[in-house]
Amino acid sequence: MKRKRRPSRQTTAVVRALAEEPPAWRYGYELCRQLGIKAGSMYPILMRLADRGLLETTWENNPGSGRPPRHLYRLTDSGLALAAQLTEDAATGARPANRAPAGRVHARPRLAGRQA
Amino acid sequence: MSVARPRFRPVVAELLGVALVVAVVVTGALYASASPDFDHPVRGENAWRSFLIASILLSTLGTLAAWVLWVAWRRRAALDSEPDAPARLIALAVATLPDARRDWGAAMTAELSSIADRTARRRFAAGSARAALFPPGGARRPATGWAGAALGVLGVSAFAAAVVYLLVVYPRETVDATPPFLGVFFVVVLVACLGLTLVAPQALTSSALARRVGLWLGVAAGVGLLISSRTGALDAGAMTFIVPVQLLTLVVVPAMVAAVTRSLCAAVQSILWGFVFSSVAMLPVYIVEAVRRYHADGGLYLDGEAGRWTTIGTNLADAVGWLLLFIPGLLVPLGILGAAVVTAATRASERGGNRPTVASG
Repeated sequence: MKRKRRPSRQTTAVVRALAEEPPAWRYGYELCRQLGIKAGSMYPILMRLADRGLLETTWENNPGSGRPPRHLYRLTDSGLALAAQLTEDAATGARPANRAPAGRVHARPRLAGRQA
Repeated sequence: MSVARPRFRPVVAELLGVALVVAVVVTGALYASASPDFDHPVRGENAWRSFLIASILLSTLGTLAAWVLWVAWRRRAALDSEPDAPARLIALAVATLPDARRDWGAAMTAELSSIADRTARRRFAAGSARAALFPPGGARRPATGWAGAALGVLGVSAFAAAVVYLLVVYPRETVDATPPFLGVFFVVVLVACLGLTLVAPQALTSSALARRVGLWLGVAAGVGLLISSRTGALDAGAMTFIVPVQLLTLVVVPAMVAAVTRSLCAAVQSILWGFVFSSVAMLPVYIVEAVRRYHADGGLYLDGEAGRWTTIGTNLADAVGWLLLFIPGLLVPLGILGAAVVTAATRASERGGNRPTVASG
């Protein structure tokens, strides 16, 4: 049977943040600021989630004047299932296997989500 | 004239910057490897002359090659259109992303454009550049495939074992004949080679053709050196085999890769993988055969020289100096320049003949 790796603490935080309001599209920098995760960690996490079919991406329809359209992210159904699983694990006391040092991820009040 | 002038100064400044960096690195490496001979009563004068000539030649070629790579990189990154340093940093990093990840590069670039604060821009650009230079890999296997990883591990292990043998059986001869710089240099290069065969960044593995060509050339070089040595074809010295093989690996084949793929990036990757795999394959064979030859006739494996100034330990310095430093120092820049010319020529003929493009990856 194939062994399933638990996501890291930072990945868990990203998945949970995206699951707070499932239909909303989120910006990468917005997630960085909300969770206190640097871009150098955030984008590899988003890439892996997208590679595994857990994250849906699209481009902004109406960017501001003179700005290129930004990338937007939200969880797919599989991603939402993972988020539910992670919430259940947290409730039953299971901890992510690949823990980041305490205090690396800061839960902050969420900024408003964006619709494409 | 008024249009050309503003572009001229930055170009000259960049060229001078590249020349300075290359000259310092090349001259420093050559000085560190040759300086133990400078005070030698017999070889001192030749050592100085060789050092000066090699420094000028390799610095010039290295500068030209580095300049060509820099120009190609900044053109791919469209650097001139970026407004500030953070945007240029992301543009340079994003330009190394493989095609499958280009959307993510555009995403990071677009995200930066929404950040106004200068400190935040710098931090976001630094993080994004790291993510672009080292994006997560897709497959759970070595970057160069199982065959490449096996050759890397076996080659480096065998060479390490051969060096340990020399250090244990001939400690004084080996240490006396190996300048400290070359000792550090070969450890750094071999660790880098091993690391590259196992976990190379995607920017260096986007061309499957370059990887495969480099791998099989490396295997052929190692096996060929062993067979040539055992059949007596190298009585005049291993140089008669090593120089043509490295010329083929670092100059001729990369030019052919450039012609097939019309991509300088793929050609540079074939130079890298040709160097990595031929080095890890030939170095252990070199030491083993050098010891065998020294026991047979007292001559050096490199050129058959036998004299009072050479010991069995000289073979280690020869192997590292010639296989990893001097010959690649000459041929890698030539390979890059040749590949750049071939890429430009094939692209020009493609534009003229409207031929279909072959993907490089």
